[in-house]
Amino acid sequence: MIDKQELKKLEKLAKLKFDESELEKFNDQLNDILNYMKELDELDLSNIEPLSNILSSINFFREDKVKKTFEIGEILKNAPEVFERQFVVPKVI
Amino acid sequence: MIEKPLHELLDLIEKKEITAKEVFEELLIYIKSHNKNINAYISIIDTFEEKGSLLKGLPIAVKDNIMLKGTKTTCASKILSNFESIYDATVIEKLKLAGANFIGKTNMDEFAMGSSCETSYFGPVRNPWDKQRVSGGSSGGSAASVASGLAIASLGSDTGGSIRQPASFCGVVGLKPTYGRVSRYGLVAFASSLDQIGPITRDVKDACLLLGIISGFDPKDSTSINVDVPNYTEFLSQDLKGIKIGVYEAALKSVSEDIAQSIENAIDTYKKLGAQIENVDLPHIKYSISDYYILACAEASSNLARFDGVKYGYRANGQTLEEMYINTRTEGFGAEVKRRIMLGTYVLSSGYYDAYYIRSLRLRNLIKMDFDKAFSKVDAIILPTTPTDAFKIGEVTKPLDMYLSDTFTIPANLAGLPAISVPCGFSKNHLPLGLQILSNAFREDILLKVAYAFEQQHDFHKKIPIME
Repeated sequence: MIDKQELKKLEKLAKLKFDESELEKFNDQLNDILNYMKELDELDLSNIEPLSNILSSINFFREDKVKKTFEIGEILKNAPEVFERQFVVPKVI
Repeated sequence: MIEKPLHELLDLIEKKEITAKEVFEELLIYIKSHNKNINAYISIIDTFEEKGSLLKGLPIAVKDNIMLKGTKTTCASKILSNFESIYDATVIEKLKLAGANFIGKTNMDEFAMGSSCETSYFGPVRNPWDKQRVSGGSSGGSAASVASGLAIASLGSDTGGSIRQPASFCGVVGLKPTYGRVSRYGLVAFASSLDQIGPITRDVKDACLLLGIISGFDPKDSTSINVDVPNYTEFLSQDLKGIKIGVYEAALKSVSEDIAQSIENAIDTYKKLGAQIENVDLPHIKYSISDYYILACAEASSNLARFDGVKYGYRANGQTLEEMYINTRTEGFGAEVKRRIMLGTYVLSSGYYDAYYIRSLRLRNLIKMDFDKAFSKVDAIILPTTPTDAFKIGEVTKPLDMYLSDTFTIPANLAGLPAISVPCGFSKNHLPLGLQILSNAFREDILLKVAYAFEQQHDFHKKIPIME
């Protein structure tokens, strides 16, 4: 089960921020869900392989060819802040 | 005209009785006067181009998590509320080549996370049959628009039932193709091992038509699979002799009487059509909800890491880069998206990864084996699409209760199988109910044949609530 201390750790990992009342609510809701998921404890899955590729485990590779994709202007179009050909972010040093 | 399915409109265009432009304009007028009652659209497209080919210029509505160049793709989220698509998704490219126009981008649950469209930043979609009720979700706008005459046909996406559940709640046909059948290039990712794009239509024939157009291998989506795309319409027939249909009885015992009855009626119809009914056992699908919400949230927490306010989307202020990331995500995402990111981060975090994530991948294998075994005996399996009819807006308050509404749709996503929901009657509240049909992977031909044969015996699909 999850507690508020754990949630504070997760909040940092997920780059989110909650106030106390939100944390309280999430704590209850997530525990409600995790509690339901306890049904999985009754299963013995030790002999079953994990399935990460549902229908095909063959990797498909494209040919390594240079192709025209997007203009720089298109890529920058949705950026919140741009300087010449770059994305601008708050100062890091 | 706008209450007809695509294939009937195409026949009328062929006979020169109507033009696609007339349909488009009538639709536009209807949307302008009636969309506010339903809230099916986030944005409207009013440019019509004369086109030939298969669809002859008829308009399609598109869920707002699919890129259509020059339109906004918001995912019904504040964080993408200003995002403009700079390219066409492969499904859009294919539809354009097939002669489609587009009429608008449809409302949805934020990032497709939800089963009611109540998590949309743009407000809930209302069910055309009862505007106090939800449309279902997450492709609620795509389903409600087709049901209410605001669209002829639409595209949705389905990760755990997001095409089939709203189709069932709104009384239309919703098809989730086999994982790998349709390219997801240009679909904003939610849970990449589960997401598929598919059509929502007025009848099965239209589903065949659209599936045939959007299917096929795409080098831009490494999960798309290179298998032939048949002409699905050719398989439609009302003779089901030799077809074996599986029934999972435990599912019928867990739903209300009206829903169980609608499935019993479907079984009778199938017997009448010459199909053989057999019981199948799917012992592990009862764990599907737990399995799905672990895997889907894990994948979502990873996929949504890209929304950081740097390259696109909403950006909040922050003194440092870290602060900007945190403020952007905190202000930009809604509560349900945050809940899933937190749950996903938890199940992937050190100490829990094996206990939750890896165990869920093992269970997923077990669920797939259940279906492999069942499909060695039968050609199709029928289930209810949903455990209830459409609930009231604001009625389901606990996230877990909302998750439980996906109980019958999730297994197909976990096993990668195609599944369709077709209207099969009305509940005691006079709301539409859906019959769900599943088939083996890449056997949409059987799926559509079985769905069509049922549809032709009834007129449920012909009832649409065009509003006064």
